[in-house]
Amino acid sequence: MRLTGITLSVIPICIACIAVREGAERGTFFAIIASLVFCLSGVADGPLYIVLLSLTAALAGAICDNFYTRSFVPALVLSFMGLALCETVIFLFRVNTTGTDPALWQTVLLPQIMVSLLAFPLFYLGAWAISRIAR
Amino acid sequence: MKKQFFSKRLRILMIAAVVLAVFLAVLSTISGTNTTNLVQTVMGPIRSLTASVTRSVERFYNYAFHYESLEAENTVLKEKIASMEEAVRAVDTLQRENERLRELLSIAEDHEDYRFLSADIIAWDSSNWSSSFTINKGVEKGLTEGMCAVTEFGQVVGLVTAVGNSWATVTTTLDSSMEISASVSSSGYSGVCEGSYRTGEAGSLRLSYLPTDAVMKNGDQVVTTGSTLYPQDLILGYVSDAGLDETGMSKYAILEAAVDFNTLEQVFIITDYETN
Repeated sequence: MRLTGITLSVIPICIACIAVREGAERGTFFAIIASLVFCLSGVADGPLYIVLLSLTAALAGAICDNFYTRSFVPALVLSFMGLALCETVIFLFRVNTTGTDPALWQTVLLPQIMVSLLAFPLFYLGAWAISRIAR
Repeated sequence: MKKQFFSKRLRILMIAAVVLAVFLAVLSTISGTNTTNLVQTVMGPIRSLTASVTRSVERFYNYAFHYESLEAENTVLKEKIASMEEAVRAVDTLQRENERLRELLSIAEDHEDYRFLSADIIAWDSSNWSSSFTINKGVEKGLTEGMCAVTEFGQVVGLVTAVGNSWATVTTTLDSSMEISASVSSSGYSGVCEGSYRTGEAGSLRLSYLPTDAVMKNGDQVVTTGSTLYPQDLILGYVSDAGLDETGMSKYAILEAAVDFNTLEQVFIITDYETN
C-alpha cells in the first residue's frame, strides 16, 4: 500500500507487535512463518527478510521479556527499532548489490520508516486483541 | 540461576531462520520461480480480494479529499487530451512518414495485427527500489515472458518478466533494469530509453545515446522503435529536459513517462503482433 508516494513497510511493525504481546519465542516462530510466506510470494530479497524479521521478533520479544512491560509505548519503540533495522539493512543491501543511490536514505528510506510507523496503532490493537482472545 | 537474554529455544529458532533463509536462497537459484508459482497460485484469489478492498479504501480516501465532480471532469479532460495528443502525433508523423502516421493514429484501428489481453493489477511491488506489479492473468491465458504491456491509449507500461499459472509480473518502464530502443517522434533521433526508478527520479525516464547535435524541445514525444519484444511506435514519454552525458560523447534527454502509474488499474498485454 502506498501513502504520499511511499510504499509502506508494515510487516516489521506487525511482527514486533506480536512479539511484544506474545513473547520472544512465540513471536519469533510467528515471524519465521510469516516471513516464509512473504518470501515465497516472490518478494525481492525474500531470504533476507526471513533473517531480519526473525531477528526483529527475537530482539523485540527478548527486550520486552527482560526489561519492559507488554504495553503500548514499549511496543511503539520496539516497532520503530525493528522497522529501522529491517529497512536499513535492506537499503544497504540494495546499495551494495544493485547500485541504489545512497542519497535516497533521506528522501525514501527515512520517510518510509516514519510514514509506516503511522500504521502502528492498528497493528498493536490487532496484536492486543489476539492476545486477549487467546487468554 | 541468571536468566539468559536469548533462551535456548529462541536461539534454536534463530538458527532455523538462518538455515531456512539460506535454503530458500539456494532453492530460488536452482528451481527459478517454481516454488513462487505454487504460492502465488494459492494466494492469487486472496491477493485479488485484498487488492479490491485496498482499492475501495483508496477510492473512499480520494472521494473524501476530492470532489466527485472534479474527478469526473478530470476523467473527461484526460480523454480529451489523449484524443488531441493522438491528433497532434498524427500530424507530426504525416510530415515525416505518411505510413507511420496511420499506424500511430489509433492503435485499435490501425494495428489490426495486435492481439490484446486485458489484465487487472492485483498487487504492486512492495519495495521502493524497483517498479513492478502483479496482474491476474498468466500462462493459462497464453502469457509468456517478454510480452509488452500497454494502456488503452497505446502507452508502454512495461514488460512481462515472470509468469505463473494465473499471475504474471510486469516490470514497468520506470524500473532501472529496463532498456528500450526508442526514438523522438518528431525528428527521428534514436536512442536507448532507460528507467530511472533507482536514482530517485521516480516517474521519469532517460533517453541516452542521442547524437550530440540532436535538437529537441520540451514535450517532444518519444516512441518505441520496435523490437522482438516491443511493437513499433508505442508511446514511452515526453521530453522534459536534455543535456550532454557524462562522457560528452552523446546527448541524453529526461522524459516524463506517458503512463500515470499512480492511477493504473488495468493493462493490456500485446500477446501477438506482426513484425516488419
